[in-house]
Amino acid sequence: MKILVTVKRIPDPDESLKFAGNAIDTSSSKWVANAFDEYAVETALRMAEHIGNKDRLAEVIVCSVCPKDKRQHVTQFLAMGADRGVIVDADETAMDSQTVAKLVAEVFRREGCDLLVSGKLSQDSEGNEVAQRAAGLLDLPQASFAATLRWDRGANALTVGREVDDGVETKTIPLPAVVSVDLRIVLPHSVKNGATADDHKYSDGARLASLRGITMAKRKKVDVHTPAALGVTPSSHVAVAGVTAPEKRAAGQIVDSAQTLVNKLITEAKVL
Amino acid sequence: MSTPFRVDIDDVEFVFFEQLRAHERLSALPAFAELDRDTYTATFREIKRMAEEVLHPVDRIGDRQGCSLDDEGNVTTPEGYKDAWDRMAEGGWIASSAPVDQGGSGMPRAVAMVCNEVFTAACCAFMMYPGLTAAAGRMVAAFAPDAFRDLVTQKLFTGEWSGTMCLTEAGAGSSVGDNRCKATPSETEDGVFLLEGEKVFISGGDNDLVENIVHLVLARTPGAPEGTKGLSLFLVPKYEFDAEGNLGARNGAKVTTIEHKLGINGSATCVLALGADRPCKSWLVGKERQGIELMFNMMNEARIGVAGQGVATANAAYQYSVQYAAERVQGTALMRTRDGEARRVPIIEHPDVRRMLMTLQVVAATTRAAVYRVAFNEDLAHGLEQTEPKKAEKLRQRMDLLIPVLKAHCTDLSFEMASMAVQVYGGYGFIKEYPVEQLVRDSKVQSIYEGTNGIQAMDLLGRKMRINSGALFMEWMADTQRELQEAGKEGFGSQAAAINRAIGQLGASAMHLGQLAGNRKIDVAFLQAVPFLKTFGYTLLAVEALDQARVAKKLIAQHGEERPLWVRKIAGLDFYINHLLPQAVAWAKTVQSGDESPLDERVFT
Ligand SMILES: Cc1cc2nc3c(=O)[nH]c(=O)nc-3n(C[C@H](O)[C@H](O)[C@H](O)COP(=O)(O)OP(=O)(O)OC[C@H]3O[C@@H](n4cnc5c(N)ncnc54)[C@H](O)[C@@H]3O)c2cc1C
Repeated sequence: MKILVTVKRIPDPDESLKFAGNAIDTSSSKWVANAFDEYAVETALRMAEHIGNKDRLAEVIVCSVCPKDKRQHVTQFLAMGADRGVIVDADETAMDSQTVAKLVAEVFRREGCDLLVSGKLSQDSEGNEVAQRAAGLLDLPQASFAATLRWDRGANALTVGREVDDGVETKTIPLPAVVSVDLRIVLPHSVKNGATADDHKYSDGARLASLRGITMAKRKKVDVHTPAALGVTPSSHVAVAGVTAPEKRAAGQIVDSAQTLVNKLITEAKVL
Repeated sequence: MSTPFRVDIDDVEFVFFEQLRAHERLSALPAFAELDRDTYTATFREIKRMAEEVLHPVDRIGDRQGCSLDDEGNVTTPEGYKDAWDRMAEGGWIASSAPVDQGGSGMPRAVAMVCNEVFTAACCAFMMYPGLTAAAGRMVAAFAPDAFRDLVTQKLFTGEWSGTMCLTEAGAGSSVGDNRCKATPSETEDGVFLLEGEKVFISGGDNDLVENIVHLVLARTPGAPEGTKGLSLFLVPKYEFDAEGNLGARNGAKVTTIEHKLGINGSATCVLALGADRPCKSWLVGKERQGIELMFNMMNEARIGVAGQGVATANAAYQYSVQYAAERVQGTALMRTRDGEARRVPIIEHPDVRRMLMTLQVVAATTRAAVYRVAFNEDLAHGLEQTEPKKAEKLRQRMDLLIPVLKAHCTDLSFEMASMAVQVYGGYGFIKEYPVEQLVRDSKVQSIYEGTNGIQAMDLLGRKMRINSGALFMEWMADTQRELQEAGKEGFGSQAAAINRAIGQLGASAMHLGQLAGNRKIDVAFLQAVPFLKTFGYTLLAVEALDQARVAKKLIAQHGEERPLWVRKIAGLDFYINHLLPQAVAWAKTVQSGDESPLDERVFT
């Protein structure tokens, strides 16, 4: 079993935004790993490991489209426990998600993977597209927004609890497949692989890398491809028309009674 | 609502990557050739997460609960400590810089110092256990006999067992040579010594974190001379063990009391009775009467470790204060005090609060830089030992000189900074709901253990200043003055000149004390040991402030933008020069005053 996990670097969401003309200025940003990709890697690791046993049930490969010398996030995921990495050397900030999805799909095909796990979205653009597009390109079944996942190895299938607007939808899909994960996938009991005891309690959230894992990360193999070598020509179906900061919130008003508040809500805000 | 704990990893990275360029220089050493900037960045990120998610959550509860002791001498640590310990051990954080083949994680000491500092800021009481365990491990690795060296080293570095250092006795604190603990060769078992005596203030003397504990105990063998020269070092396990590490009988080292303290309540400070209710078996580490020499070997490392605790407190104090000050609304801006309608402002807008925050900020930043630099020099010295022994030797001598200064100055300042954080908070700082009162209590011990700060000053004056007739000190002055000249060329002329004047005063103070000693007025000279150390300390940190500002200025030019961190470094230098450096000059004046009043026999009779 081979699991490919997409991982992306994003400008640190905790930093305040800077603008340069009509665009967001990321020239001085600190780049960090997308949090949902941490959950995706955690999901893959929980599937792959057999707690209490040295065997691994799957190989976990992290894949990132990024400039090859800006791979700190890849190192971080290798430190966390992924087995190896694949980098598609390109300036991903200039690409649309269809191109990224094509690159990911091509890596998936060449590696002969059985499962693609992605974070449901990246915190910078919040596109929520790559996994779905890749599934389409690969013509594979998909389950997006996974909050729970059970791998039935006998049936070679996944049963996925999907968080949808009106509750949780459970669906079973055969492998190979594509899954995108949501926040709750990293709760202590969300992922089961049929090998690790079902009642095993993982710590909440994506795991911390061990110091040993960090020092080993650099010894792990990372292949670097170019888009051209993967036979993908960047498309540009999406153009950025402009970026502006949201309007500053106006100062609040203090009213002297509940009655005034109700009146204002009716007459000024017109919300009642 | 309390103030959240926060680690400013950007500042850590500024010192490590920009100021020391540690990643580049370390990669030239074979031991660290594989580690690169990405690896260090990943490490710092996990350090931050460990601190915020694993260690800080047990900080307050440990303070409130403290430890407890049962009749069998077993200590129960606060809730959550065991889990935190397991996660430290699992992650390989207990001995981050110990060699991998010994169970450590093979990181540079500079990184171990970052761990020490950031983890201590998160929970200093907890960190006593891994800190002493790693220290004991290093002693065992270096000096224990073949029979159990590898086994015990591995057990300690991986955190399966824990370790303690047992020097202090009720009558032997600063004066270790007055140790009375007795070691008698066993009549029945070869190589075994039976210990009798009582050790006090033993940190982690017992705990429920691990299955076995090894104590490293100083004791005197029959016929050994009085004083430090007669002391030998022994390994005393809580449970005896075989060659595979399987545990056997309970040994006769038993905790009889745990102290109730001002702070670090989660750390069990124990009275350890040796051979009181059953024989206390022990095994010699190193040779007989070599005990103090072995301890000295580890002393620099232990002292710089405590300096790092001081850095931790200063940084935690700054981080808490700056967050609180941005949120606490009180009063109006100074220029609008007469306007009753004026907007109420967060206290961070008041000049005096800004002055306090700036003090906290520069002390936090400069002590951090100074302490990381020493740890980093230790890596370089270690790495250059074979290829460039002269350079390595010079680095080590520099450390010998600076370590007492840093141990004492960083820990005096840390307590001051904790107190200043309380001042920033005002009344709420005094209240237990907020974290800064605990910082005050927890940090006080830093100036006491590992050699009181008074003892550090005596070490500086009585030993370090005299090595090769003061050559270490003269070299430091010359190197620093060269740096000042460079800074002058980069537009920092006036600041460099101010620091140069302080160095002049420091030099004059040293001369003055040298003359007193030459005239056999030793007691008058030692009266000024602490003032001299303070002169040195305030000057030394000024040099770090200058170096940080130079680095920041270059970064600003290079990136064409003024990031807040860099601006803080440049403003921090001016603040340091005007608010803190004058203290160096003032202390120098004290040193050279010739005052003898405390020695007047009539004042304290
Ligand atoms: C919380 C805590 C944890 C500790 N953990 C450990 C531990 O794990 N292992 C261990 O072995 N010890 C430990 N200690 C002991 C610690 O190292 C000693 O307390 C310290 O060395 C000082 O010794 P003392 O308390 O006997 O003070 P004293 O030596 O009595 O000193 C009292 C005062 O006199 C001054 N003084 C003493 N001698 C001189 C002199 N010759 N010249 C000038 N001034 C002098 C000192 O500077 C100090 O101000 C711990 C102490 C504490 C409080």
